[in-house]
Amino acid sequence: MRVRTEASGAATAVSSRAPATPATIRSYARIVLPVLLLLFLLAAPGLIGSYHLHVLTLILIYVPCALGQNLITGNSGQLSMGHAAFFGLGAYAVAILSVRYGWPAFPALLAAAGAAGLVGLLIGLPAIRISGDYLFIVTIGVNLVFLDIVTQWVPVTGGTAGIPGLPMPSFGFVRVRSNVDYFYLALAIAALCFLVTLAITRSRFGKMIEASRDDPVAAAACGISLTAVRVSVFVIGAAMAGLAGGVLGYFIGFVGPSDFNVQQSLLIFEMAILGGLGSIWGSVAGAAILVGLPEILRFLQPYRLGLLGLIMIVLMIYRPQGLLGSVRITNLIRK
Amino acid sequence: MSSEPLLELRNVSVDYGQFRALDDVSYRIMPGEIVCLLGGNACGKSTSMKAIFGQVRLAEGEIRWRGERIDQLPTVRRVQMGIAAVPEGRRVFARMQVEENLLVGAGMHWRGAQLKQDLERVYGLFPRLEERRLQLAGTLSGGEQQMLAMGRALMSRPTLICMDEPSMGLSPKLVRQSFQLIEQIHRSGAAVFVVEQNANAALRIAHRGYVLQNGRLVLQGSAAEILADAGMREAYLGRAGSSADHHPGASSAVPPMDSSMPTPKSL
Amino acid sequence: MTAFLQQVVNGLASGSIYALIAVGYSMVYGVLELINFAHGDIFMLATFLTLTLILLGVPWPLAILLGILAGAILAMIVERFAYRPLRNADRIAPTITAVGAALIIQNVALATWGPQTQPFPLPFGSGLIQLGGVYITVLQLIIFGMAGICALALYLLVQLTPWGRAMRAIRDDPTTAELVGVPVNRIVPAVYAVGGGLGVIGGILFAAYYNAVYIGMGFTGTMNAFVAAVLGGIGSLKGAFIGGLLLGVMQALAIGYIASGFENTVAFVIMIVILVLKPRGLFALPTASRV
Repeated sequence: MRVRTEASGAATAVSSRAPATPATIRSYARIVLPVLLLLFLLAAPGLIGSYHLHVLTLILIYVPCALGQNLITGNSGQLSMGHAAFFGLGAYAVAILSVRYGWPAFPALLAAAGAAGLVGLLIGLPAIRISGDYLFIVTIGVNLVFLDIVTQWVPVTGGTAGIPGLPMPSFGFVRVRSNVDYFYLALAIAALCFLVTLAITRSRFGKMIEASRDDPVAAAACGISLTAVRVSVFVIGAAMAGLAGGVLGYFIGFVGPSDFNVQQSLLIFEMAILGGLGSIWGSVAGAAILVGLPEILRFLQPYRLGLLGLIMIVLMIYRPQGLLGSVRITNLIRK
Repeated sequence: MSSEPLLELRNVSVDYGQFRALDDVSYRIMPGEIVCLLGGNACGKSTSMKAIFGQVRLAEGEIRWRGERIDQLPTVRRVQMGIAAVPEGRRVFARMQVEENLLVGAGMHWRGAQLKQDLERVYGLFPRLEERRLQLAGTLSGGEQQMLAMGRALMSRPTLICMDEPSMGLSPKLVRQSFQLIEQIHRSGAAVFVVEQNANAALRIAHRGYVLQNGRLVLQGSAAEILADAGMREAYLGRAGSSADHHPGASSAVPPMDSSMPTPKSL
Repeated sequence: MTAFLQQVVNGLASGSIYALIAVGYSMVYGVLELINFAHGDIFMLATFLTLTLILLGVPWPLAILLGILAGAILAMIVERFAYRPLRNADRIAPTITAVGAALIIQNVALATWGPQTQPFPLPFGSGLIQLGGVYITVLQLIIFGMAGICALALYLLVQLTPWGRAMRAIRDDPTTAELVGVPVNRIVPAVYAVGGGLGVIGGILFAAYYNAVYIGMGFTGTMNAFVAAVLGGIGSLKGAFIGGLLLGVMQALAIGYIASGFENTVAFVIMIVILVLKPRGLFALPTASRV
């Protein structure tokens, strides 16, 4: 099946990117652990039951969201808290295009990423003039506006009833038929976004992003356009969430407003700060913990909100850089 | 009675992470004294001030007020005991009226006869403030803000006033005025501890002084002794060609002293 | 014209509620420059509590007083555990712990009262007064009255009492305030308590006006309070009050003349425009010289 090959292609890319001849155990681990993880993921449908595969698929769908959020907040230092709007935009784009216009999956997913990226551009432009905690609230506002629109624009979005009946996606001759196929689709998208993020952060552009976060004045003096850098990060981060939203839409087969509320934005935001700002593996870990843990610890379900809140407080007081991060969120605001 | 020091720092050290900002420093201030603490930039002067008011944690040593340990007490308690601050850069409450600034200095009291009396005392010392009592403090001139910061400190009826760099950012004329105000405050009965970079100006009014260098005490004694110290003259007073600018008319490194100097010595 | 005036009156009523919530919120922001994200959820919990007391037969005035007290205490608890440990950190960490506190409070309310919206009974009928074609309900009059009384009381408290002076001194310069003897650790929780209490008054009026008590009302309140505060110039109490009234009127007009269901959109479009064009709001305080 072709989806599978796509994913293993990503695997070789991961290992070939890692440093060549590491001497220490630490740098061995940096190659071996990702490879083991990838091998596990590729073999997962044969190793774990269908319920756990479902959870794992959900985690993989959230990974691009967390990566995009982390790029915006961790690498670029912009406190955006409305990622569910981009996530939802992607889901709605796919739902509308596939259910109402019969678009195939590939262009629909592209359109999902594109639409989210475009809205990211529209938000990112004023965002550079709004600093710190104000942006935090404004982006929550963006999320609320998104919800207003999808609940009110009934002819297109179906209102509160949402859009049911998304078809199983097909990419040319490759058709997604089972949960295993969905899993590989999610894995492929997650791996793609992971590699894109890795490439960005390691590139010259990545250094520019961090420079404009750490010392905007100096960065601007070096000829870096703060506007261009910050806005493009916003666009990329939004597009990733849009892509993930498209996959979520296909996976659940239904798109409605309740999946993209502010709580969802909080969850994605928390993935980035829990995992660690500016850390790619941190994003992955954040998504895995915050999606996986509540599923495993189902008896905690009634206390899910409170636990998320408690994690936030404890993190900020005792470990503001998150589990794997290097950037302290407390350093992100310039007074 | 006068043998007991008002404020005493015993072997105080303060660390900022790995960096030792104050190293085994001891000061004592007797009732009715003017004591100055001298030194260049980043030598531990401001840290000493913060230690007195409990804004940094002591790594070692103790602080006593009238013989009683106060180094564990919160800032507010220390102020209530009678130590008042005139902070560096004056720091008046810019968006509040002049009189409101003074009332904040009086603590959490309602208007009463005592409060009125204190206000009158401050206005008596600084008639300028009374003229401007309803103006926002942020609109005052630098010199007026200095008066306001001193008046605010006086409102808590302190026995000791600690001033952090009263000459900083002021013109030579205002520096002179500022030190005259300090003497005026001193005459009204409070002891004064002045932290100052402008050694000449400070030694002119002080009885005793301490000199800090890199967080350590390098010299202490009467103002005259410090003025006479060769190393001191080389390090601070002599180099202070710049400080001569603050004292127009002073041709030598050490300016002429006025009568308030306790033991003027000829050089 | 009558229709227009009717919308304005309705807007002023909901605006008065926003104003009360926003003033409590802006007080905290003014003093600590901290977005008190839990503000709305504190009054949500306290409003639920008030409703429960009323349903248990506790007399109205007592139930409301107890509710206000509960809100004040809860605000102080949140300050103590979620904000004070971060007093010296930068602004964003306490913003996030505030979100955390909000989630915990929501969870507590959810576990206690469940997700259903509950009606809020009124002890009086729904009388109408007609003024030149414009109808004003008794409840609206009470809302106007409460907003006016609270605004006046708060003004006197802040301008004329030592407590208010201490609060404004902390707002101008917290370090110096402490240095000249202001008991910062006593004043700050008190600011939270007063802000929380005002929020509860707003919350109870909100519940009465919309005849609904529900978990999400806190979040709605927080967001509208933030917009109102930004509109008026955040940190300024007068600004927050006027901002609340303006927001209410603009939303009512938008509902009347554009479409209902877009209240949030109206609020946030206004906010983004203000933040981009006039970031310090319409009635900003003069800047304090913070070094």
